Amino acid sequence: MELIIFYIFGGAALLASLGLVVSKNPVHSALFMVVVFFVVAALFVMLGAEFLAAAQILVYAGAIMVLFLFVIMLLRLQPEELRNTSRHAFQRFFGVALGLVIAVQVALIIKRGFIKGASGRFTPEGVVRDFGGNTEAVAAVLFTDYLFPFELTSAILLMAMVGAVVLTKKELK
Amino acid sequence: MVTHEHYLVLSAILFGIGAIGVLVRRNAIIIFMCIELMLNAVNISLVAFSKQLNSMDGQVFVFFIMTVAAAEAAIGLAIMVSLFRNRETLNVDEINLMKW
Repeated sequence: MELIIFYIFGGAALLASLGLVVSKNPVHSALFMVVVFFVVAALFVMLGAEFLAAAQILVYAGAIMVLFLFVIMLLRLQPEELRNTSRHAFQRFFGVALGLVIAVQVALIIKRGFIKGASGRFTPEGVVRDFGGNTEAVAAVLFTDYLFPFELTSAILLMAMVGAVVLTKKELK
Repeated sequence: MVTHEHYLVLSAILFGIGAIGVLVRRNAIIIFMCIELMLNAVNISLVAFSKQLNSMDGQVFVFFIMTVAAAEAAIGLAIMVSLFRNRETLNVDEINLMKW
């Protein structure tokens, strides 16, 4: 049963990401991207990461894709010629070949050198028993072991905000 | 029974599709979306490893990756808006001002 659900979501992810890459209209690509984000959120739920699934939908599908669609519609882009025989005719062929090489390499690394390590304390039963849920368990690690990186992310977000304002401003006084 | 290898292979395929998109497409916004797709593929494998090793560290890393992706999207789209304002195009073949 779990396998069937995995193949449904995995197939949806593959189809939507292929649609993202091949569609001519950027708006269609953005909508395919939303499908990919929702499917990845579903896979996170299947992996027992409920907090990340919620964050995925809120941050990616909610904030980032709205930003993308806003910019696409703001800029009035002409649909890109999918079959362009411009000055870079070989580019497409080499792009596909290199992408396949990357996929095969990643798959080989996964098959060969499989990551092994000591099992941690966050077993599915232990998370519920000791913390009460996935969100509490993430918080217990995030606010203790990773407190300094967590504070640094606030600096990153502040820089992004200031940078976006400065870059899109017409003229700086 | 779904093993973590299923998730890792799916993640590799999604990463490959994203890489092909970055290399093949010429529209800067679509290239940007393919980069987000590659980040998502990496997130899947990090959560799968986190489940395999019974550790929360992978999920915390995914949380940080999401933050960086949000900041990157804001900055990148701001760059594209100012680029389009100055050059009237987002075709990466025509954006060659700094090319030697």
